[in-house]
Amino acid sequence: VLKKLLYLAAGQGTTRITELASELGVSTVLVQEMLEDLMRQDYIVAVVPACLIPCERCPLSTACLFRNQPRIWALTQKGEQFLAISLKKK
Amino acid sequence: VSDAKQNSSKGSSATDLERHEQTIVVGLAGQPNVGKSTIFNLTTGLSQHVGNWPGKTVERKEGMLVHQDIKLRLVDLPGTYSLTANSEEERITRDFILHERPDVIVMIADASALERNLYLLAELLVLPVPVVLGLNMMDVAEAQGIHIEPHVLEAALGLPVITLVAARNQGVSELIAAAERLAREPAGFKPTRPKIAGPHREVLAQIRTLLGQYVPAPYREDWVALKLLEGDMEITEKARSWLPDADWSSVAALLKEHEDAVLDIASGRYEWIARMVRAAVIHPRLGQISVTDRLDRFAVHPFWGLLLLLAMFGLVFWLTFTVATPIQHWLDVYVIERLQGLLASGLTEAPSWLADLLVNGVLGGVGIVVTFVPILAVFFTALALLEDTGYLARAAYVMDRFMHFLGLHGKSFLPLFLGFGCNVPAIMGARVIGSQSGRLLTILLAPLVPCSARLLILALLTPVFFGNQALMVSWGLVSLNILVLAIVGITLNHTVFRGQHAAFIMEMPLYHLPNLRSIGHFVWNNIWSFLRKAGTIILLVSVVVWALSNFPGSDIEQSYLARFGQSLTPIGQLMGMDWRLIVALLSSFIAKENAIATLGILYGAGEEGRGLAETMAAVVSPATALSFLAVTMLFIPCAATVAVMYKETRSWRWTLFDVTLLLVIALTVGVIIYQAAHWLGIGVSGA
Repeated sequence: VLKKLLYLAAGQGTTRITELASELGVSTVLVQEMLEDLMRQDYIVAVVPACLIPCERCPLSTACLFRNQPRIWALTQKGEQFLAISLKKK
Repeated sequence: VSDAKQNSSKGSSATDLERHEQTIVVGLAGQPNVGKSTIFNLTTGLSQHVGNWPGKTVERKEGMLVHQDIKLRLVDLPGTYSLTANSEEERITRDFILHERPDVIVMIADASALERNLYLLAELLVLPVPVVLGLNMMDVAEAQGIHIEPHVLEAALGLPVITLVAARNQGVSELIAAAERLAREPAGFKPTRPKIAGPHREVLAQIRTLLGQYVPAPYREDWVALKLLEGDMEITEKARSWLPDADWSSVAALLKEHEDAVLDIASGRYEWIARMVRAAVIHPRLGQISVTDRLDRFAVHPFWGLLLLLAMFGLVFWLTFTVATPIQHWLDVYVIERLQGLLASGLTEAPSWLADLLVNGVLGGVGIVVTFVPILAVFFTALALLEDTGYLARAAYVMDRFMHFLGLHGKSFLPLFLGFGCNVPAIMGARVIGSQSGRLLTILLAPLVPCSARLLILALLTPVFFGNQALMVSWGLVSLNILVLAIVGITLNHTVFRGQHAAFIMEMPLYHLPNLRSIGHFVWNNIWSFLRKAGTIILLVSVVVWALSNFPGSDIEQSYLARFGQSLTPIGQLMGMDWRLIVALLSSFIAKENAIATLGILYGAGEEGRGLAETMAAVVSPATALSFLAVTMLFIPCAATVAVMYKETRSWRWTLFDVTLLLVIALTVGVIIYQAAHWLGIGVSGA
C-alpha cells in the first residue's frame, strides 16, 4: 500500500490526501500516518510552500498572503530513485 | 480510592499481599495522551513506586494491586508511537518487553483515533508477549460519531478488547480482569498478526535462516530478522556482533538488495489496520460528504475550480470597486484637494517653489497614494477572508493543476502563488525548487504574477476609465497576465529549459470560519507597510518627479522630465500614450505605486475641484488607458524585485534577459491593444 501511494503521488503531479485515501480504499487519517512513515523512511519530505525559513522567523510573515498553508510533501531523492528503479523493473 | 482499586483489592490487606506467591507483571503501553497514567493511578493508588529506568533519565513508575487474590505489578511504560528504537522511550518499552518478559501487556488506545493507535499494537504483536487492548475515551469517540464494535474488533484482532472511559473510571476493573485472565492462560492467545506484503516475505525467511542459532535469548530470530529488514540501527549493530563475518556478509548483502523491504513491512501493518477498522468501526460520515468535501468538489475541480478562482478574483475587485473606490474618490476630491488648498493659502509667504513642492509634489504625489488606503483595506480584507477560510490553499492547488496542464514545473506554483502578494518573496521562494533550471524558470516567471501594488493600480484606474465595465476590464487584465505567464512559461520550458516533473502530496486545511482578529492583524500590517513605503520611497520619488517637472522653467511642457518623456514619445504614440504616461510607467520601476504618485503630480494640476480621476478621464482616452494598464501589469518589475532576481540568479545575463523580455512583452501587448482599439474605433479619444 505504501508503494502504491508513492506511485499514485508520483503519477499525478499534485495529489490531495483525500484522493489518495479514495484510491487506496483507506481513511485520510491512515494516509496521514503512512505519509509520516514515508517521511521517517526518507522517501518523502515535508516542504513549506515557497519558504525556507519557518513563519515565526520570517520578516514577511505578518504581511504574507499564504499563512493558512496546506501541508505539502514532495518526493526525496531516495523516493525518486525508488520509483525510477521500480518503473525499470516493471 | 477508585472503584477499580476498591473492586480489585476487595478483602485484601497488606498482609494478604505478602501472602500471594505469584505476581503477574503487567506492562501498560500506549501512545502519549491516551489516558495511560489515569488508568495507572486508578489501579495502583498509593502503592506506586517512582524511579528511573536503569541508565536513563526517563521516569519508571510501578505499582501493585490485587485482583481476585492475585497480585499484579503494573509497570507504566513511556508513551510511544512505535517500537522502532528511534527514541529513548521506544527503546525502553521494547527492552522492557524483551528483557523483563512481562506476563501481559495492556495497550491503551484512544478510541477516537484508533487508526493512529493500532500501528503500535501491530508492532507489539510480533513481540513474545500476550496483549490486551483497552479502548479508552469511548465517550469522545461516540461524541465524534465514531462507533466501535468491540466484539467485532476482538474477533478480528484475536485478542481481548475492553472499552473504557478511564476519566470516569468505567471499564478499568474489566481491563485488569482481562489482563489477569490472559496472563494466567497465555496459551489461548492467538492474535491476527500483520503480514509482510509482497515478495519480501521470502527475504525475511532467508534472513531468519541465516540468523539461525546465533541470536541469543531473549531475542527471537523472526523478530530480529524483521527489525533488520526494517533497518533498525540498534538491532543491526547487535546482529553484526552476533554473526560470524561470512554470515553477516550474506545478511548485509540481502539487506542492501532489499532496502525497500521496509515499505512492504509497514504496508502489511497499514493493510492490517485498514482491515481491522473496516471490520469494527462504523463511521457515520462514511459515505456521507463532509462540508469540506462537498465544497471541494467544486473548489478543486480542474474546470470549475479554475472558473471559481477567476470568479473569486472578480469578487475581490467588485468589492473593491463597490466599497472602496467611492471612498478613495471622496478622499481625493474632498480631503487631498482641500488640504492642498489650505496648504497653498498657508504658504503664501513662503517661496513659491517650496509651496509648489509641498502642495503639488508632496500632497499631489504622496497624498494621492495615501488615498489608496481604503482600497488597500478592502482588497486585503477580501484576500485575508479567502485565505483564512482555507480557500487560497485550494486556489494554489487549482493553479498547480493548471500549470501541470500547461506542462510547467509543478513546484513553481508554490512561490508563484506568493507573487500575488509581492514578487520579492516569490523570487526568493524559488529556492525550494531543487533543479537549477526549474528554479530559474520560476524566477523569470514570477514578475508576471500581478502583485498587490499592480492590482491596486488596477483597482484605482479601471473605474476612472471604464465605469461599470471596470470589473470586467480588471478581470480581463489579470487573466491576460496569467495567460502571458502561461505562454512564456510553456515557451521557455520547451526551449531554454527542459520540462521537469515534480510530485507533491497536499493536505488541504479544512474550511473554517475566519478569525477576525487575525484578518485585522493581516490587513493592518499590510496598510502599515504601505504607509511606510509612502512616507519614504514614494515621497522621495515624488519630490524628484516634481523637481524634474518644474525645472528649468515654470512650464511643465518645457521641463527636464517633459523633454525626457518626449524623447520616448515615438514609442508611446504607438500605444497612444503621451510623455506623462510614459514617465509614470518608468517611475513605477522604483516602486509600482509611484505610477499613481507621478500621475498625481503630472495630471493633478488640473482644474480646481476635480480629482485625479476626472482630470485623467478628461484627457486620456479609454484605448490609451487600457493600453497603459496592460503595460503596467506586464511591465518590468520594481527595482527591489530586479535586485532580488540578480541576488537569486547571481547572473546579470539572466536578470537583463528577463527585464528585456518583460519590456518587449509589455510594449508589444500595449501596442496591440491600442492599435486594435484604434482599428475597431473603440474609445480612441478622451472623454
